[in-house]
Amino acid sequence: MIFVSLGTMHLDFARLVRAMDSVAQRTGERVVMQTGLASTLPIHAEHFAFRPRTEILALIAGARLVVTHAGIGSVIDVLRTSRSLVVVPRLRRHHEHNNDHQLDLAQAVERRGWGKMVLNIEELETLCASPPPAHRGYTPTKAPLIAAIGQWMKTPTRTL
Amino acid sequence: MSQRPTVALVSSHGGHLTELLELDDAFAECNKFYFCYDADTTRRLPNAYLVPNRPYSPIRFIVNLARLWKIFSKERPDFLVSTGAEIAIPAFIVAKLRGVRSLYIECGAQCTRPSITGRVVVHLADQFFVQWPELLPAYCGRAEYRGSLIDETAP
Repeated sequence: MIFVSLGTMHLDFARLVRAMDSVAQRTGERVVMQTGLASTLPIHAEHFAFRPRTEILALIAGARLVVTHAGIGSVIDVLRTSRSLVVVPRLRRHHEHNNDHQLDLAQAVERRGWGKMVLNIEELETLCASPPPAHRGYTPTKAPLIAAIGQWMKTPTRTL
Repeated sequence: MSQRPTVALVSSHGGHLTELLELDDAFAECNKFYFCYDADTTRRLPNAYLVPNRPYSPIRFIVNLARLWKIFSKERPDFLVSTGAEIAIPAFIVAKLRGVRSLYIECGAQCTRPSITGRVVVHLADQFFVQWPELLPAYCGRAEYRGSLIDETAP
């Protein structure tokens, strides 16, 4: 099963919906899409607008691949679940977002080796056939950050 | 300063609040109070001052400045810590005027491009952390990378 997440954005994401609907039609594999507020909906893939977070996490855990918009919440959920990840940033030129900030996170995902970024939507079908390896043991450096805050509170010197 | 220092924690109500709560262990030894937008998520916070979510209203900005001044007079915080967003700007102004030490932690979603709030607050905060090392050049030596809720890079 492939899980597809479009997030909560109010703008449409027809590029991704159509490409993944085509994968569902051609391969016959089960494709489940969380479409949020998108107006373009798939015909061959299963879809729903929103579901509780626990159900979303279960869908991610049950997927062999997650294809998601480059939203921080979705990306973290996939990394924490150690699933194969493909990010498709919402782009301003396709009216999928107000700006191109999703490109920033999508590029970071690729730089860190957490997953693959797709800009040319035609590449998506190939990636679904041979998905990138899942990133295992995702561990953000939260502990050093908390320690640094504690240290800052104990050191009454202005550093800037 | 009393034995337990007081920290003012400021954030809007969405992902910025999630980040602030993830860092809660850092404030285990502190008395805390919050200054946030009024929302379902923030109404559950203990000791929270809530204001309406009108980020682009100049009148609201002035009202928040005055409100924060009063709150700081009452609570006498030793520190201000914020994870954004724009609700933090009046708080850093009040902290600067009152000589309260302040720390801003840039949102984890900003990988290489600074946030608008970050670009303002970097000139007001005593200490400024980013959550991606790639973001450091954008702040021209005024920021530090000390760890992240998102990135795995060792500081």
